[in-house]
Amino acid sequence: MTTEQRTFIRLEHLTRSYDDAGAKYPVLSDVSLNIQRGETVALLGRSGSGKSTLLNLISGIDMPDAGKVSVDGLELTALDENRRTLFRREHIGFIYQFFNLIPSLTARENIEFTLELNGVPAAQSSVRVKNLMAELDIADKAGRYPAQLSGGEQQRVAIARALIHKPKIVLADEPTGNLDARTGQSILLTLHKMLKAQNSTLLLVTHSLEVANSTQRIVTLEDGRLEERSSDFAW
Amino acid sequence: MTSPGNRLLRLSTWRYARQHPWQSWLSFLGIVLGVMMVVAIDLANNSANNAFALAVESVNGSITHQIVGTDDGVPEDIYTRLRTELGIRRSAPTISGTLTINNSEFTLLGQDVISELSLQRQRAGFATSGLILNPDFFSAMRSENAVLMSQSAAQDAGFSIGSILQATPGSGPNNRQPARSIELTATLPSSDPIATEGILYTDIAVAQTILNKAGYLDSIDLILTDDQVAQIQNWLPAGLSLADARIRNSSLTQMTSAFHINLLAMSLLSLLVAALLIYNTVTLSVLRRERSLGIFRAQGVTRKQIYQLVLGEAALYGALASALGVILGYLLGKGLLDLVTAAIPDLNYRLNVTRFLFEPSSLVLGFLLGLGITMLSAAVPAWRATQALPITLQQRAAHDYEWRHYLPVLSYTGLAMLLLSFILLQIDWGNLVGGFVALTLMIFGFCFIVPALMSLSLKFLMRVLSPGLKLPARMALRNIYNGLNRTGLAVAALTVAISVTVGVGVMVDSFRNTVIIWLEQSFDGDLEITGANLDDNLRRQLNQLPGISRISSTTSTSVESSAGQARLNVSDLDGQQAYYMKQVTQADLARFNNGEGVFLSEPLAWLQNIEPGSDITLYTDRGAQDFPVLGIFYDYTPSQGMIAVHQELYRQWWQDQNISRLTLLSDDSNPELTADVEQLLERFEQVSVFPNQQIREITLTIFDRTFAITYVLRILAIVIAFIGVLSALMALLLERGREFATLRATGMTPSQIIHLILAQTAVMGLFAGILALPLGLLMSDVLIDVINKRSFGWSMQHFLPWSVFIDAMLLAILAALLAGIYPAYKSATISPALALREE
Repeated sequence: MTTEQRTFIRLEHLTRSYDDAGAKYPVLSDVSLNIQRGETVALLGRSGSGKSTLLNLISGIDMPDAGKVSVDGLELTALDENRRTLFRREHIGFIYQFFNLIPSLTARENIEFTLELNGVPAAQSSVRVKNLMAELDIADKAGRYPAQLSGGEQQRVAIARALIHKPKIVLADEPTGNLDARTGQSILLTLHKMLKAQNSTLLLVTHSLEVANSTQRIVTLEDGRLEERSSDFAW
Repeated sequence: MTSPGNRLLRLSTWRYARQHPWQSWLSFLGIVLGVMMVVAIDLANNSANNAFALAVESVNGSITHQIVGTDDGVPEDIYTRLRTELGIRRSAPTISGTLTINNSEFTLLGQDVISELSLQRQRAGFATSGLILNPDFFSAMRSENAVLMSQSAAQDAGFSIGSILQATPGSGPNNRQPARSIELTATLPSSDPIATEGILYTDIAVAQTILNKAGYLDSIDLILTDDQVAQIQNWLPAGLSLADARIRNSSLTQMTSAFHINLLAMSLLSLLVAALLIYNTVTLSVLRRERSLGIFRAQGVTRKQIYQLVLGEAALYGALASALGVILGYLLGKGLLDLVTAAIPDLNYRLNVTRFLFEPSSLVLGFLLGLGITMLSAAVPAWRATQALPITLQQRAAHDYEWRHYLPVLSYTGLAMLLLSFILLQIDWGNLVGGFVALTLMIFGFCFIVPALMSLSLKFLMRVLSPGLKLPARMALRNIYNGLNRTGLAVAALTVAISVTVGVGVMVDSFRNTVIIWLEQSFDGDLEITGANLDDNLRRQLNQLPGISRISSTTSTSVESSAGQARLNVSDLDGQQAYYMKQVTQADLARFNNGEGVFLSEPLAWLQNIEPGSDITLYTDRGAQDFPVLGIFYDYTPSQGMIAVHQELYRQWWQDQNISRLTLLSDDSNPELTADVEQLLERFEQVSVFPNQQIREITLTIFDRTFAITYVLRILAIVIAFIGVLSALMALLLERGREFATLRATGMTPSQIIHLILAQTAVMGLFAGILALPLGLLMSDVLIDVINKRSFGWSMQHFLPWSVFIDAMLLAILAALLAGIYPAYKSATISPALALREE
């Protein structure tokens, strides 16, 4: 087995349920999944099927009731909160449907922020941000605040923020869900191009078959269980 | 009829309150504390004032005049002669004094049974002349040590009929007078227990014996016609004078009520801080629900319904919180009573205020004030919630923009209020209302310009500092700037509270420093010798001791004047050495030293509106005589007022040449001077020596005791503001929950989030601290130059104590930081996964 084909993200028997007024609502039941390094995977599912919960468990911002999450051999579920945060800071990039940019930071600063957290020197950081913004065609928006950007521009900034520190994993939660079809298409193309260049792994949550088809592999999540799908399955 | 949808609207409000209990509780607490302070101060003031009035009335009754003498009192034969020679029947002798029994102080009131009948005076606490006509009184006065009390007073003191009590005349820890046995022979029913509290009644002769005043009376109380007044004035022997009983007490009453007005003003300032807090909370509550309100409006809910919803919610909170505030205010008022009483000028006897007065009107007023301010505070945000279009309410950016749009209007309104306040302060209104209105306008005006000042400063800081700051620090500044419609309110509330601390702190410190200067100038000697036998022989022997550069003598006695009763101070020193002069010319100083006129203390001149150049009538041993007023000197003694004359003038008009005290000034060559003086004085009876340092310390202790209540009020104001900041921060930070969750997902640790939030709150505290300084200084100017000057007649030097400024700054930052801890902790520890879920 080559390095490229080695299991990179390993989810083993994950179970997660939420408490509400004393009652337990299961979201994920005995979910297992292996993803290779550099692979792009779409996670399809209906609203409330547990897609976002799965992303949160992989990133370590949520913990399973049972089961294990490992990334590149490191068991995330065995780490304490602080070490999970440091791992996330260094190795994970997040893209959200509603962009979640920090309103008090400009576009450039939103992107720069991840590098600053990772201790990248200001001079080096500045060059990297400038280049990436140019690549994403938002160089002229550097000084603007999120409220002054269109949806498409905001999502480009969010992609830049997610990729600027060259993370091993990019987790995207409905990245085009809040955009029109044309802008969404353009954003997806840019994202895939950049992921390929960085050899980053993508796990993309969507309920759009069209978006899912842009990835190498599709899995569906229904009733808390995962199933592998071929790209021509009917949704 | 209920409008359609109102039930669900109310249900949504109720659920919102349940889902955000911290916000509901904080707004509730703000109103409770504000109302509590006003009610507590008002009740404590009323109780103290009532006790003061009753104490005066219990001793004086409803008389018109009094014959009074010097410190020894009135020789008792004057009373007999008054009745026999002039035929004045409506007269009665009085003696009162303090007795200490079982470490508690009581007032002993001696009266003559028969002559009391002639006055038919109504003693407070008893029905018309009931005390005198009561047959028990005659039977009770069977022995020479018999005393009576009201039933309630005896019960409170734990005495019963037949109790033998060891009573020591006088009070205080240094009281060395021998104790005497007295017997409680009867108790009488009283119509007003408060009025008779702590008072022992006895026959005049018994009182003379117990109080060591044999042969003398304190006064002869009279009810006179105008003709009789003139007749007595012509007849009175030298050294005695006829005083108008009403004028005599007016200065004291005026001074006491002025102090209470000051306290009430402080409690109103706290209520103002509470009003800002209430406004802040209701506004934030509306802002947080603006999205829901927008959806309601879009669904067809009318503006009126929204308005009623917000106001109804405020009314419910206001009513419940005000009711609780009234109850807590009642309890706090009991606790504050001692502090308020400490500020009342000393009478000739103790002021007994152990009974707390239940005043329903104070409670109702407090309740209405709390409810009214809550409704007023809610009216603006409620109106704004109804004015915006449904779509605008759902767009926060639009709302923030609109708020910035109003910033210039708000600032100009604030500046106009400040200008109006300045104009009002230039006008002499003759009372304190103008001063308080000006002060309120000043505070509101300043609050209105706080957001604009913050906006400008933050823009400047962001421009200047941003290149050198890390992103979290930049975020902290920008968050304050972007949330100015929330942060501005919190900073304004904290600014006002801190400025109260600065204003009152500067006022009290200025006052204290002025008193210190006055003490140093008025008591510039090193040793004070007091006693009964300060004659020339003693002075000669003191002069022979080594190390004395000067010995001066002072006579202090009481005098009746056209301005009421006052202390007469006679010194053999020149005017400029003996007094800390406020207003005098060199020519008039020379005239004073030649015995050609008098100086008046500042409070006396102010309260009686007497200017240098006018005359004052003094009742001398040679009859009434007019003297020119040559100057005004500073005086901060808690008495009715003081008149200073030079020894030359005193010798000319008064026969009594007894010296009250000798003041020794050391030349510092003899370190054993105090011991030498003490050794010398052992040969003289009833003479004591005090280091002046001790007198200064005692005076400052009394000063600090008087102003102790201001510290309590300042702390309460800060507590209210603290709740305001906490409430605003909680709303602000929880509103940004998704933002913090994103930062956490991006890789910020909880401790980094906490640092970010605390940096933001520290900056807000810094702003409040800085902005509180100018407002506090303006406030202190008003308190020093307007309120206290117009209330007490005391003018003070302005001192700017740096410690007050530093304390204020630290307090502001500390309060903001403390208020930030819980919201920071909550924001840092909230599950990012949960916060990132769409609402």
